[in-house]
Amino acid sequence: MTAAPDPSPPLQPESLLRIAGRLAHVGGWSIDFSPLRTIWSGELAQLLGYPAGYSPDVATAEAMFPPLDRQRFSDAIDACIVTGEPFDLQAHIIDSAGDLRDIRMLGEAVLDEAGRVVRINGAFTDVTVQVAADDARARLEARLTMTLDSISDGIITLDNTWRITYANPSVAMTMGFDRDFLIGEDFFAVFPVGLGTEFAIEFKRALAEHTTVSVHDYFAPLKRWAEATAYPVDDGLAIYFRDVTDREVARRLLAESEERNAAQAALLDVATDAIVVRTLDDTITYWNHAAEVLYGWSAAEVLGSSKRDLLYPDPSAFDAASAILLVDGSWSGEIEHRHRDGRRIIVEGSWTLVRDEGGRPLSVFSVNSDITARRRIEEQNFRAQRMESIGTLASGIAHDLNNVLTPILISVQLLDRSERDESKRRILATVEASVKRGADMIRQVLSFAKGVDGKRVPVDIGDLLIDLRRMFGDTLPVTISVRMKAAPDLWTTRGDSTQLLQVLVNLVTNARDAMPSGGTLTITARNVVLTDESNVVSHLATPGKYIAIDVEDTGTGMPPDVLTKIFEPFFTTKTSGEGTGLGLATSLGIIRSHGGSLQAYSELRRGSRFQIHLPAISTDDQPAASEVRAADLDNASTMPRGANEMILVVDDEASIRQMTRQSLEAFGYRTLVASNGAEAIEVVESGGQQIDLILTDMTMPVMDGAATAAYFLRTHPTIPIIAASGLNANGGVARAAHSGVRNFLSKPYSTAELLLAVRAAIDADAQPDDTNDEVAHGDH
Amino acid sequence: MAAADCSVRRVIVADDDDLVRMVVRTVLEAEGFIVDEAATGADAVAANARERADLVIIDAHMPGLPLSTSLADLVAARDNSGAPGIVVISGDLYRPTDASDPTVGFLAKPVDLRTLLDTVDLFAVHPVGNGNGAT
Repeated sequence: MTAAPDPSPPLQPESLLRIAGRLAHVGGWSIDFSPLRTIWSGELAQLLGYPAGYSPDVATAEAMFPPLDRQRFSDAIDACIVTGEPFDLQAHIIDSAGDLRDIRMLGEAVLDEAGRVVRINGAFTDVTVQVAADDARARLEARLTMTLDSISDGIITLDNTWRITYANPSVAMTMGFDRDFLIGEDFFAVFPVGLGTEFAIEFKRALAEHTTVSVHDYFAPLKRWAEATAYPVDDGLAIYFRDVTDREVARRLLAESEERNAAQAALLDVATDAIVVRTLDDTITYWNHAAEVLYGWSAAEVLGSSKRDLLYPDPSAFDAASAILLVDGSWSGEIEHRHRDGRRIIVEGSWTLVRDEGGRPLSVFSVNSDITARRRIEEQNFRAQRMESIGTLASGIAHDLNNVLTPILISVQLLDRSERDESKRRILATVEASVKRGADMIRQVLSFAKGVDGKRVPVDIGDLLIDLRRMFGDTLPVTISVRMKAAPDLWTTRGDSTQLLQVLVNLVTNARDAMPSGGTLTITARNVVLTDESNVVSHLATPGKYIAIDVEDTGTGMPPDVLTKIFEPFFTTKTSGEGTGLGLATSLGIIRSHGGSLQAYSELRRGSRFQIHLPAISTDDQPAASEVRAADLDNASTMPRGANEMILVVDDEASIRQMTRQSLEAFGYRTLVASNGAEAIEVVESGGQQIDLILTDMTMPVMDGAATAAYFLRTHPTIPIIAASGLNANGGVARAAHSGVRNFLSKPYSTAELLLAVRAAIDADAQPDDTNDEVAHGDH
Repeated sequence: MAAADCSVRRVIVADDDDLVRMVVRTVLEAEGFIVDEAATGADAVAANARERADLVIIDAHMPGLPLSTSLADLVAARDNSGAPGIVVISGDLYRPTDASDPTVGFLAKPVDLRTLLDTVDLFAVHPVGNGNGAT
């Protein structure tokens, strides 16, 4: 236990006074007049940096004031002595360290019985800090007032009765009064036009609810747009006004122009011409919808990239046009562009140099119309005309050449009859062989130039293939394996077997040449029925029964630009002297003259497939092609129908999408379409529709069938996929199989083939356990 | 039994190409024919009118008369046995449509010697008035 401390002795009133004086920086002083002396309290001495107990004589004390204040001090003392009135003096004093201090001195006279002043008692306060604060506040006020007076925005303060307590010159000018007049006036009395406006309503609410309000509105009386904020303060409102007319006008103009721009952009997007804007350093900044369609790239993909790099297979054409553009301010003409898939596109371009307000070139606005099709038709017409002239010329020359060869051939053969010398006979045989080879070449030119006439007798395709095999049996290199498969009940066509054999020989020769390091040559023949609906890929004009002959190789294949030209006369990929460039042109002529079609499918480095369709003729045991339609319509009722399943058809050829879609919808399916894999993914992933099956072409730009199938197999393994391809042996189907797709459809497909494949794929998917067939079928 | 000149077989070779005429003449003379040459259709018709031939080999493309006219004149001039026989020879691949008459033969140039001789044998008809009928 500790003992309680001793209670301290009670403080004396004088001690309390001293403590208070020290804490409040207050000192005491007195001046006695008889004898004349000065007494300082210890606090005062401390305040001025002197030791406690120090009291200066009167002269020393007076000397502590700077001269001006010294005079005021001595005047105040004198007055106090004479009148006995107390004084309150604010002055400066110099402390012991020589620093100037702000002080306040209070003095009071002490009188004797006779009423004479014998002493003055006083208090002394150091007010240096307060004075500094007052000075600062005064400066701040001055600065604030000056600021408020000088800013262009309006400031007004109102008391709780709407009397104006302050108005800066800007608001006074706006209200139309002298600001001195305004002070003390009722705001709405001097500015009645403000009543009934959104501003008045809100200001009243600010005052009533003591809340900050902001108003942005058109102030009709002054025809100005204004923005006002009213802040509740202790005794009323402080309101800040800003004239935002200029900003508002600009904003509205901008909004209107943006609206106009949006409308124009919408127009640009529905335009059928590709519209592209690029900067002078060739960065694409705008790319409309038609440009996406024409070039195959989306705007998102190309914005920021270089047009020159993107579209120009030959940048020198772009550079030349750009140079003219910079000089003349515009350029128009034909120029070649490149599609995303490598195709050449010919456009008619109209480019304009866009300048800023100062006339400096800013960007290039290009409008490009696709004239590829038009140019192609013109080229075809031109080529047809040229071919006609060449044909006329060639047949004339060929005719003359035959006249030239006639005497040579007969003479050689005549000489050979009587010649006994073997070496001379060998020479004659060489001449004869050369003449005959020349005659063969002339025959080719003539058969192309003259068009194809020939016999029209029933031709057995099976026999034709046997002849073909006999011809090629020994001449194909051993590195090429030949598979030949003809359906046993092949229909008969009508035509010239020699010409048809010539076509097949031509196709086989090309296939052989496409496989210099070997491969597989597959020749198949089968019967097909093409109906209106099934005319999906064949491009054949008339529905009917046909014999389809396929010649497929696993060779080098052809790029798209070569594929489009192979049927043109004199187009050849072979070196000079190896081919006339007439083979496929003549073959096409022959097949067409038989009422058939010849189509080519090819994939680079995978192979090519040529497909011949020859019309079947009526014989005793088969109906004529013309009778097929009725029979086929009967078949339609037996074709497997859909049960409203949703099929996504993916193909880059619009005509195929269209025909496939029609066929599927005619047989009870719903359809969605996409032109490439990327679009297909977008359709499926958007989740708008449940997809029951995806039918995808294998050869597409942007994202091909194999990649598309691989994506869906991974992400949506329950959606069955059918891969369609023009190539079987080495092309799309092989790759589709590699990617895991199990359902295939060979192009061109008939409606029946399409429906069977779709039904089979959906049903197979519905019953993953194939031991359970009957159960799975139970609901049908 | 017939007079020597009556048994002589006569061929008119009508072609505007000298070398063709010459080589055909050479072949046929070696075979024992008398060969008359004509460079136009009209000459061939006139030569046959002067003396009916066993055979007229006529080129499809010659200046002057069109082939159809020459053929019509020659057919009209045939005697009861069908002489002269007619063979059209052409630098084209196929028989011209003007020569669709099945009694008219066709040879495509360049002509093989064997084919020429076979065709001549097949189509030559000895005129009735000239000797002992068909060869």
